[in-house]
Order: sequence, then structure tokens, then C-alpha cells
Amino acid sequence: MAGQVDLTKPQDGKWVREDSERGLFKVSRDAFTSQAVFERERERIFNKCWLYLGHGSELENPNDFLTRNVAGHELIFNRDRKGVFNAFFNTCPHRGAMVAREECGNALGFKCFYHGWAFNNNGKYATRSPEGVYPKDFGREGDSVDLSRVPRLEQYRDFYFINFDADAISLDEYLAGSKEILDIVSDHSPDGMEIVSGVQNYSIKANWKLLVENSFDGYHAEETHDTYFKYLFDAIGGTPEEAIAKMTGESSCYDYGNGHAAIEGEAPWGRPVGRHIPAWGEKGKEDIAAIVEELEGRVGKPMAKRISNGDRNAVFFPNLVINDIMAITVRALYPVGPDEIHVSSWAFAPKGESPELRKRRLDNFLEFLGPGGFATPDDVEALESAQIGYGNAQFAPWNDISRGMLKEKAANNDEEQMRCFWREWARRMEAE
Amino acid sequence: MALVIFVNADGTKTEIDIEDGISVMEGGVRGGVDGLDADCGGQGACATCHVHVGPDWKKRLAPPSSDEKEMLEYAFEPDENSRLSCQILCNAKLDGLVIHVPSEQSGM
Repeated sequence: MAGQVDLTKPQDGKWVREDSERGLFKVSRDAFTSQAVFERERERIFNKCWLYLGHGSELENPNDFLTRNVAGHELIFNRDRKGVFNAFFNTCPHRGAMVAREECGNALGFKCFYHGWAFNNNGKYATRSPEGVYPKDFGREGDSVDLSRVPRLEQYRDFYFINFDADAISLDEYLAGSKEILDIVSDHSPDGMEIVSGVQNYSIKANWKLLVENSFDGYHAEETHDTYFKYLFDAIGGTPEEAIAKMTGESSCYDYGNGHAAIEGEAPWGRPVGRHIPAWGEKGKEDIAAIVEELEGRVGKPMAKRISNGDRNAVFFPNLVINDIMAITVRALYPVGPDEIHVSSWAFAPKGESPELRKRRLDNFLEFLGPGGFATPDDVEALESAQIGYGNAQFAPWNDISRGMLKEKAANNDEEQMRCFWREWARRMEAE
Repeated sequence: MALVIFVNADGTKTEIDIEDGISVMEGGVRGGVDGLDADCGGQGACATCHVHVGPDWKKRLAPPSSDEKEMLEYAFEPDENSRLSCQILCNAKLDGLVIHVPSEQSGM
């Protein structure tokens, strides 16, 4: 990929062009619109990479289950009677209907509504039929009629991931340096962290990689989210210039390897884990001081400063976003076509958080994130506009992702984190 | 709510309060009673939550459905006091119900 960028030949199986000497990085717009690319991504990325399934806190008790579509596959994520975590394909081994049809619940077993085949919640076939109907050893000799298990299910810090490739490297090895982000968000509280019940599900008429880029794009915030920042400064007082002058946090980009990357910096909004804003009042100031003091005692001052005052946006290749900003959002994005994304977003918060602190956190979340927030509708507009703009790809074929490429140390408003993603994407997609 | 007394083949007794509408099987499995395999988890599909009820209690329970009777034929050594515990739903009238759990369930 390195070397001179030749923009005269747009595609020919190479979508990413990088010229490290001149500091240029270009991505073909064909990567966002082509059906062939979408199918190749299914095969080479979504069927090979570790994909986020859910968090352990969503299945608090034995026999808890939830159903979820991950990259086009209907799945059951559950705990059996012994408390063991499982991931099954949600399809009856008999004739295919889904055996769990609720979003979540607590059940000792599953029964297909079509013909009544029943299964233990450890996946085992558990249905009697009159003698002679099926062979005596039905389902036991390589003709299993148990629920099919997703080939791999592994977790790090209670974040559960699946892999459809039985031969994949371990999750631990795959996550590489990005485990730092899971550590940081898991260490926000001494009491553990949980997914707050409820989810934001929404769709965007754009390619999924546009949302990957957008999810850790520090460059667009001021321009795109002008409404939010006006609202924010009305609420917290002062001006953006004054806020920037006060900031002490370092602006960084982290390349975590294997396509995972993050940006980190300091933003003007309040952080429920350690950055007070005047709108939270004196009581809020005391609450925040107590949280910071506890953090310093538990994780040490330098890490406590990063947790309390650092805002970070991380992408775990290919499709998990964890943004630890004015609140923490865990966001999984799934392509359903070259120009359509389904998004699921959850809030992640300390277990046992007081109602007052939880309210501040969720207000912060909802003000900015999701279909009812100030920011997400702006982003959706931008992403859909880009997708429409790619209709001109024949005459304007390249995206530019070069920002900050010649700098020794990229900042959080450069595009190095996106280049980390694209290099891994190209490695998987462009290989023979 | 009904207090249900599970008696295992070895004489072990377990008393569990089970809420109205919850089956004896579910109350027993969640309460950690041994010997209730309940493979299918309460769908009436596997006959591995087979129990015996005393003759006095038998009269006070709603009689088994034809499906339950058919399924009981797969149970391990069933008798006239056999029931599938997933088909007995608790209510206040069953307070004090004594359930005998057999030494084994017929394997699937």
C-alpha cells in the first residue's frame, strides 16, 4: 500500500491508497457503494472477526436469555441452569423457526412454536416422540438435533464476543491493545459496571464504514454539532474559547493494533465520572470530588486523571464502538446492505449508581446520543448525504483520510485512527 | 403462594415457597432440588420432571391432561400416583403439597 498514490486507476481490487512520504491516504468510494464489496466484507470480515454480542450484566442470573441479531444472524445469548454463558443460533434444528421469540427473559428451556420441539437451556434436544417415529439413537450419531452453537464465544472484562470462525485466534490476542479501553470503562466504578436496561435501535441509509469513521471523528464535532455546543455553552456558561483555554488534557490517538484504535482528549461537557459543570450545582461538585478521590485511591493518580477527565472514542475492528464521553455508549453497527446500517446503542454505567447521579448521566447521554439527541441526527444527515454524494463516484472517486498524516504525533482531531481501521480493512479485503 | 415439600428417594426434604402460577417443577429446579432433570424446562416435552404425589394430594390436584398422560408413559417406573411436575401449577390451595422425587428420571 505504501508508495505513491496513483489516483488514475480507481479500483482494480485495491480500495485503499497510502503515500506515506507525501502524507496522503485515499479510500475509493466504491468501498461504500458496491454490492460485491459488501459480500466480500461478510465473508472476509464479519465471518472472521470477533464481533460484540453483549455484556455479562445483561444476563445477571442463571437461566437469563436475550435474543439479538449479530451481522445478519439471529442468536440467543443466555446462561444455563449452571450459570454458564452460551451463544446459540436461534433456529430450530427441525425446520428452522426461531425457538426464542422474546427480546429477553428467564427460561429453563426453549420450545419451537412450529412443531413443539423443545430444548434445554444448555442447547440439548429434549423432546420425546412415540417409539418408532424416530430412530432410537436419534440425534446422537453425528446427526445432532441440539441447538447449534456459535463456534466461538469468549469474553474480556465481561464484554462477550462471538466468532463464526472456529479457527480464529483467541479474543485476547485479537483485542490486542484495545483491551485498555475495556479496562478503563470497566474501572469507572469500584462496584462494577452494567448495561443500563433499554436500547436505542435505529437505521441509517448509509454504508456502515461511514459510521465507523464518524464514531471516532474528532474533526467533525464543532462543525456538525454546532446546535449541541450552543446548547451546552448556554447550560454551562462561558464560551468555547474560554473552555478550550482551561483544558489540560492531552490530545492523542491510540493505535491498538489489529485495526482497533481510539482518540482521547478533553471536551467541554460534564463527565459523570469526574468532570463537574456548573449546571450540576454545589451538590454535583461534591459528588464528583468524591468519585475522583475514590478513583485516585483505587487506580492511582495518572489513570484516575485519564478516567475522570479524558474523553475517548474507540472503535474495535470491525463494528463495535465504545465512546466514553459525556456518558458511556456501547454501540454495535451491522451492515444490512451496502447502503444501510442497523445500529444498537446501550448506555454503560456504574452498578448501584444513585438515582441522582444516574439521572445526570442519562440526561448527558440523551442530550447528545441517539435518535432523540442533538448529535446523532446531525451525524445521520451527514452520513446519508455522503452516501448520496457517492453517486458521483465515477467522476469524484476518492475519499481523503490524510489529515495529520505527516505529524509525528496525531491529535484527536486528526484521522490517524481511521487510517488504523482502513489499513486493517484493506489487509483483509485486498489479500489474494 | 404454596409451601411445597420435596422428598427425595434418600429421604432428603426440601421445603420451597412457590408463587402462584409457577409450576412445581420450576419452583423445585430453581430451588435446587436434586432429581428433577426437567430437560425441556417445562414444555411438557420430555417426561424428565416425573414425580409421585401421595394419594390424598392426588385428589386435590387438577387431573392430568391427555398429553401429560401420554408423556408419562416415557417416565421411569411410573405408577398411578405419577405426575409431571411441570404440569402442576401452584396456588394457595396447594400449601403443604408433598412431592416425592424418584431416584432417577428416564434418560433422553
